[in-house]
Amino acid sequence: MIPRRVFSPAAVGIVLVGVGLAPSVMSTSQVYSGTEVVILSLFAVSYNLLFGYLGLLSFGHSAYFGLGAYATALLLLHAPGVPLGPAIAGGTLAGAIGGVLIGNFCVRLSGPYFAMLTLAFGQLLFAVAWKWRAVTRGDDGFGGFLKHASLALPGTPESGSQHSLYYLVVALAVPVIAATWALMTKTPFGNVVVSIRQNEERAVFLGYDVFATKLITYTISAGLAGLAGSLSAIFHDFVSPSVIDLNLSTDVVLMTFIGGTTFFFGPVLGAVFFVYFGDFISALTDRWQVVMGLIFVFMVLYVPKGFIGLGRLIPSVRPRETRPETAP
Amino acid sequence: MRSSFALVCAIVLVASVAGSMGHPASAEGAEPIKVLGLDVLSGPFKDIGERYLLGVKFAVEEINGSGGINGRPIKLYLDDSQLKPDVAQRKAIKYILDDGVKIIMGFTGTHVAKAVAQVAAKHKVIVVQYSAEADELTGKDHVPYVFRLALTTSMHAAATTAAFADKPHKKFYLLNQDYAYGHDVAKAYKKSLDRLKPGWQLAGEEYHPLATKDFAPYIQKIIAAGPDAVLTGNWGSDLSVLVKQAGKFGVKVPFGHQFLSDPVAMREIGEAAIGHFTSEVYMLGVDTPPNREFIERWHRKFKDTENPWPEFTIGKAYNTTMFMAAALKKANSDDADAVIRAWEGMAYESLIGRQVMRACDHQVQTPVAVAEIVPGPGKFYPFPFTGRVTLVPAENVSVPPKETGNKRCE
Repeated sequence: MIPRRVFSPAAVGIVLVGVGLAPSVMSTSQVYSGTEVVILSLFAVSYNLLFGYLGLLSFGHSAYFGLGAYATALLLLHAPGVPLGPAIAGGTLAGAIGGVLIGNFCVRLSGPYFAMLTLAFGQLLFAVAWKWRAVTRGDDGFGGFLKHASLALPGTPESGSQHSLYYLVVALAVPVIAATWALMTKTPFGNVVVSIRQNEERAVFLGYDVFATKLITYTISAGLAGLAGSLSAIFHDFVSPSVIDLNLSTDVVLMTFIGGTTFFFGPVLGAVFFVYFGDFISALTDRWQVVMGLIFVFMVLYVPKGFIGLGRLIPSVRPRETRPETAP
Repeated sequence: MRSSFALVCAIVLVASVAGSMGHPASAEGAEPIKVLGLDVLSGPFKDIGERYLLGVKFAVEEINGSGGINGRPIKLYLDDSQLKPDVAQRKAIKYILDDGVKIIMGFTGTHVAKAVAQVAAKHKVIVVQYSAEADELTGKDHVPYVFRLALTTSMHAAATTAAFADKPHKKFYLLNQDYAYGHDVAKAYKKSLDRLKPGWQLAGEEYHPLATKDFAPYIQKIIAAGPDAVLTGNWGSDLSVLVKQAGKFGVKVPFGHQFLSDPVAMREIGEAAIGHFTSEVYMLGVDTPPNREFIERWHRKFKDTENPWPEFTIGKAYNTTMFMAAALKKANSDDADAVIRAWEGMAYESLIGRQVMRACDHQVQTPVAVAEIVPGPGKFYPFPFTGRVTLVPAENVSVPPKETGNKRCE
């Protein structure tokens, strides 16, 4: 059902060399934006596990990004001397645990009910971040927790530099994205996930445990979002409720949609577009949100497959799709 | 698959490189001092950010028109923080690294101010704040590269409380927004009441959600409690809706505010606010010779625009920029450490009188304007607006260094 060539070693090589060498040709500020793009790519990819693969439209995905960000920030703040590794693992775990607990309720539903429940849980966690001022410092947020952590990475000039942050983020995000890609496109588990989206009833009759598969996918998705949030907290050296608010939840919908949901790497394109085009257009006009909104509407109406769908207009670069659009 | 994957990678790389193009600065003649004004310029609060940056722009024009900073002009960049900390950080980094910006001015939103402070510390640039008021920005979260020329929440509350110091009011009711800032304001009011109104009574204390549409239940409670005055730090729609509804319910006791010297708010609120008090580090009615001249210069240039008078946002930003320019002149450099050395402890004759930049927490010590809302038309606007301004001396609103929570002040 999902014809696929093995992940070509050449393609892997190109990516690794490209990503590894990029900082040497980029200015420091471009390295900075690049790091942000990688973090948002990971977040958008995690979102697409739910939307593209399971067909579940979530409006509360920033909850897990925020859990990861706050968990890592609080760990670094209150446990001085904790190495970055455990702090990031803690953030990822916080996202995943949140995913199991909340997913347990949400994945029983589908369509608008699922969307509404994720929205409700997302707002609940936002309210906690906003109101629990003793811990989260409320609306004001907190920063400067990174000075307690050692950021010196082997082979980088200075501790905490934009370059070492870039390599830290890439070293974690790229393998994780690749592993998720492999899981979704190369394994029976991925096939089951796609079959559930295409025809849930048939998957049940075939004997698959639909609830467990959905919950596992939801948890993986939340864990990846937690990792993205954790990296974002370290990258910005600052957290505030904007890492857990509805804005971020809708931003990721936008990124994923614009990039394309039918292709695993579509959301990566969406994240690139969102950051660079967003900055570009907001420098031109204060009505940039209108422009972004119009692009979103246009994409949903006319190019529902996103940028990847645009690629189909050129036959020679037509990407093969991860999954057919509708069930047979 | 392979080709599509490679295509994606290629696009990612090209976009990353092309996405934020900028060139390092090259010196030509007198090298300009590069300043970034970063504030919210889109979305529902864009009007606030725009007005602040108008003030900065006007000040920079005047500075450059009179010879710049010891011969060096100021080159001003303006950009939109989108009121988001991550966006503000990204833009700050871009201007610091690509354009060689040495000073960043802003910001509406404490979270934005805090996020940019982290960037400033890392890249050793000076941050000059004309707006965000949370105590901790110059208190326990202070980054030594940050200078604040706005009031702190505590100073602002003290100034509003001072409006009641020589009046018979005894029973105060505290009504504030239910989030970090609202709670800080209430705490600050209580502290300043302890100091300025010994023996005061708390008639009631209430917090309402942000952007409340219907204040009727809260106003009923105020009426039932029968206070002599109500103190609030509300802003935005929570300010205008509260005052208008209190007027409709016939609440006669005066309110003490922090953000009522804004003509945009007063145009909407109108007569309901007459008799209320408000305070700010700058107000149109401040009657000093430099301020009278400033208002005249502004009015001559902008009388036919949306902002015929340099109201509080514009005046605050202008005054901040001018004090900063004085510090830059004294430092004779835009190097962060030199600016810090020059600015710490420096005194300046501002629009509102003598201001001093306190050395330990970089918080300006300043007189504060307090005024009562009087019926319109007045000197500036046809609607009710702040009347005669009294200046509360700096020492009456100052927070002692030891109480700031700033480690450098211990």
